[in-house]
Amino acid sequence: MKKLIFFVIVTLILSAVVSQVSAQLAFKTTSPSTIAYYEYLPSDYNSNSNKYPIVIFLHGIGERGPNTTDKKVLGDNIQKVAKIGPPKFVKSGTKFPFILISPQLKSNYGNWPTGYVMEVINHVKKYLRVDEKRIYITGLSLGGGGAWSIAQDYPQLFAALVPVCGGYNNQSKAVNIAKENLPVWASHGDLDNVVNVGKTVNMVKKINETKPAPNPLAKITIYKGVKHNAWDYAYRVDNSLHKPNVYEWMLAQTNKKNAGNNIPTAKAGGDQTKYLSSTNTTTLSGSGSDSDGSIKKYAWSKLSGPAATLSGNTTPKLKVSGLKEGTYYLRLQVTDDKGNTDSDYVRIIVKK
Amino acid sequence: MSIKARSVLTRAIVACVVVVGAFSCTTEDEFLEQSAPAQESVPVFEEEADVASITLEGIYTEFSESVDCATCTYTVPADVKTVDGTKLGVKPGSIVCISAGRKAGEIEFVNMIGTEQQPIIIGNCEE
Repeated sequence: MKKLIFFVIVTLILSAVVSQVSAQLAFKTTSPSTIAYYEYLPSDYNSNSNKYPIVIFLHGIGERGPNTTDKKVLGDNIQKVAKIGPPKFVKSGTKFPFILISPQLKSNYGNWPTGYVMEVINHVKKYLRVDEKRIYITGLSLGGGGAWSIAQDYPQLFAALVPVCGGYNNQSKAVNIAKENLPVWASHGDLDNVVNVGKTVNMVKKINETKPAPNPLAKITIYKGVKHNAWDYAYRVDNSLHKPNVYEWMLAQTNKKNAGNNIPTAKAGGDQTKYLSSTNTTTLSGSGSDSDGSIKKYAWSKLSGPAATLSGNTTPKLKVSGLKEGTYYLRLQVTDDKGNTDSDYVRIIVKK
Repeated sequence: MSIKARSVLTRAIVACVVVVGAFSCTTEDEFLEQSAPAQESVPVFEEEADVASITLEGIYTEFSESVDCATCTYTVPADVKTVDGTKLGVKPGSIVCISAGRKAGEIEFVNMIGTEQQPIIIGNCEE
């Protein structure tokens, strides 16, 4: 009996410790397609209700996973995603100040379908405190092509695009990127013998030669004497090559306009602490503003926390009743008269 | 709590402290490979530039493998990292040369505005 108690206590604590050190890259899946992805959250994510920029990273062809919806099998293969690129740096201890989502492409796909990546983005936006104005997409090789492709189809969604030695961009859609003034920083090795550097050169050329020219102009970096491994240089987390480096540059970009219309701003109000000994009800006072139009829609929703009753979900003021002990995170999303949206988040800590 | 139970609990706590101490010195990566120390949004490693790169923000501006030095409108000095076409008054049709001796480090060209008929050319020139 003594040995059993000893074993159980040690096992429990050991499990807690292991899960803590493994928590940097969390394996998750979407629904309905059960797409596997690695999720990285900034170290202070759980200590506030701030919204965070998010980087979507698309890997190359060698890091694809099995064509299955079996979560065990997907979980056994997800680590390939962190072989190169930003998740590799997370694995080796870098603490990025943004959310990093690294989906894994299933092996039955020869490229990254837009719908596949959008399922991942829409899925994580449901439960993470994403800054809607700071969504970035990047990828290498096959993933660089995917980043081009998805940004061409959804240029309004992103605040910046960083394709690295990308392969299957579509010059006929370059105008979509130019029209939205989507900041682009593309890179390629000049001796790339897998994807010719001309792919990137011509795409950037096409974007910048659109009339009127985009503002800012797309920028391109060519690494001299480098083959297909441009990612070894483009994704460096230091300033040995670029100042700002690619992460610093991305974080400096904010999506302020879509189709020429200013994106509104949501404010969910300050965090609250409530004591059940006094009340189990509270009211949140949110607001929305739009510098060139008006707010047409308010939508409150609960991201996480115990059960509670929400009323007035479609108004600036939300009444939350039936509070239980725990921590609630709620989102206020506002929509302006042109359909642009912004979200803000608030936390309610409920104590006995 | 009996003395025996307390003894078991004490041994368990001591064992756990040892285990926790051991694991608190590692990161996930150490289960897979040697890790670098964790830092908050600062470089994991600092290296000297070991490759040459050219970054360009421009319109109708093209790269050329090599250009004749005699045709250079402007030659980038070895210690210059950013070339601003507006500040330098680089006009359409200009040929901007990079010394062939430049082996590593970044050169960034900004505001390089050529025209369809008269593109700006950026290239390496060798005497």
